[in-house]
Order: sequence, then structure tokens, then C-alpha cells
Amino acid sequence: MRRVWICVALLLAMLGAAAWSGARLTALTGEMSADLRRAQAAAEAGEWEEASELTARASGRWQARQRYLYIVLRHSAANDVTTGLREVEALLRWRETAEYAAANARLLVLIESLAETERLTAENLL
Amino acid sequence: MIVSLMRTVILYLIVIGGVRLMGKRQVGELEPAELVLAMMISDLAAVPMQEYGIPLLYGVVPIVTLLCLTMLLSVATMRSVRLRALMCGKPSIVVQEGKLRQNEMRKVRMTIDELVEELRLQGVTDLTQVQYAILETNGDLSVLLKAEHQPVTAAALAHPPEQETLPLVLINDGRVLTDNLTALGLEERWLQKTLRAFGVQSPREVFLLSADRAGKLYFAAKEDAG
Repeated sequence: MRRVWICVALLLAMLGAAAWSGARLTALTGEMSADLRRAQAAAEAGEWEEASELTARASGRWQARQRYLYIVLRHSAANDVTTGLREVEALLRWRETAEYAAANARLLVLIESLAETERLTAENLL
Repeated sequence: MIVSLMRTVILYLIVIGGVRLMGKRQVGELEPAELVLAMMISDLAAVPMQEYGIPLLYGVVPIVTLLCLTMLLSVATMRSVRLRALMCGKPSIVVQEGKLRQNEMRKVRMTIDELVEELRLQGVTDLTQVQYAILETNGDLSVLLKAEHQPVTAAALAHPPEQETLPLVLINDGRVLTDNLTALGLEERWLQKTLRAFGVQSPREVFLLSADRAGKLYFAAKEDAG
């Protein structure tokens, strides 16, 4: 009977950890997406400094959780986001409006898809 | 390379631990659920071992989940006959009183060649000698011969031999196993005397010494290496 309880406890622990990890990832990507969208709006309004600050904040959030992200995400997906953030930061420095807008849109899709793939939905299950 | 090495060690320990947790049945007799588990685990463990870009958790979590589910399922099947029949199937009698049960053979998709081969493996060449042949849920064929074809036993000859007891190892490669010595009610003094009788002075010179309750000994001295 002890083995049964160990198995039940392990399953519940994994379920809890998966739910917690999903929620954490959703929160992180949500905050980053919001920052990047505001940065986009600021850049369109010519506020390049503010756009840079918002993008740097999103990048900081990502960097701060990098170890956790590499443990729970495919490394290629995490690398894509890191590369995307660097690219967007560089384009902001050079104030390349059109290229920045395209790169930022790509990055937003990447970030949002990270949380999306962890959600328990019929699409993901099937 | 070090990552691959460490991942292999971690996954190996998890799989060994899990299989050990499943119990001894896992090793030799695979029920359908256990067969599925063995196949899936081998594949799941191999991927993160070779692919650094995939987190170790992607291998560990499914493996632990599968092991836990199999354990829960095996406990549930132990308690419920219906669930056991559903998950593991039922034994099928394919030969009854020397006659083939063709419907049953069709149901379990067993050909006559397979049946005859299995019978031959068990030393039976004549179907008419078979009282029952039962295809067990793990795929083994159990054969019960008709009474007149069963081998003669000591009991049948009304001359039962003395019951043998399990011999215990007392010295294993130079090491004295005191627990076994105590279990047989023997003492160090007896051991020293016995060793001298075999012409050795110390347990270090003995490769194997075993004894049973009837006092039957087996002795093998250490041979020189090389």
C-alpha cells in the first residue's frame, strides 16, 4: 500500500508542478508581451527611449528566469526568444522603424506561443 | 559530452529504480500493460540522453508518470477480477482432453504451427497425450498431460525421498557469512573444525562453502589466479 501512496503523491506532485510551471510561464510571457506591445506603441509615436526601456525590461524579465526556462522549455525555443530580444534591442538602437516593427511582431508570436503550448487545451492535446 | 554522461546516469537510475519498484514480475513475465511500459520507457529515456536541446524533464516526467500509472494499475488489477480480465486478458484453453479448441485458437490468433512448436518445446510431440494446454496471459503455454502420460514421481511409487533443505552459503569468496552460520545453528568453532577437515587454515582460502540443515556440505577451495 505504501507504494501506491508514493505513486499517488508523485503523480499529484508532478501535476501540481506542471500547473505551477504553466501558470508561471503564462505570467512571464504575459508581462513580456505587454512590455513589448507598449514598446511598439512608443516607437510608433517616436518615443525611442521609452521603447528601449520597455524592451530592456522585457529582456531583463527573460534573463532573470533563464535557468528555469532552460529546464522546462526546449532549448531551441528559449534560444529563439533570446535571439529575438537581442535583435529587437539592436534595431531600437538604430531606430529602424519598419524592421523593428517586423522583428517585434515575430518576437511577440514566439513569446505567446511558448505559453500557448503549455496550456491544457484540446488543440494541444490532439 | 559530460551532459550526455550525467543524463544517462540519471535516466538509468530512474529507470532501474522504477522497474525495481514494479517488482520482480517485470523482469520475466510481461503482461500487456508492462510490455507497453517497457517499450515506451526505452524510447523516452533515449531521446533526452542523445539530444541536449531537450530538457531532461521531458524524459523524466513521462517515465515517472508511466511507472506510477503502471503501479496503480497493477494494484487495481490485483483487487478487481474484472479489471484484471480487461487489462491482462484471460487464460485460453486451446487443447482440452486431447482435442484442439479451434474457436479459442482463432480468438487468440494462435496457429497450429505455433501450438505444435510450443508443445515440442515442452517435450510433447503427441497431441493426444495432452489433457489441457492453456495459453496464459503472458503468452506462455501451460501443458498438463493426461494421467497415464505424466512422468512417474516418487510419491506415485509410494517411496517418498527425504525432503531436501535449502543449502546456505557460509563462506563466499573468502568472506564468512555469519548470518547464515547462525541460521543453521552453527558456530565459529564448528567452522574452524570443518575448514581444517578440508585441509585449509583460514576462510580466506575458501571460494565457496555451503551447508544445509542435514549437514550436507559443499566445499570449493580458492584456485590460484592466472
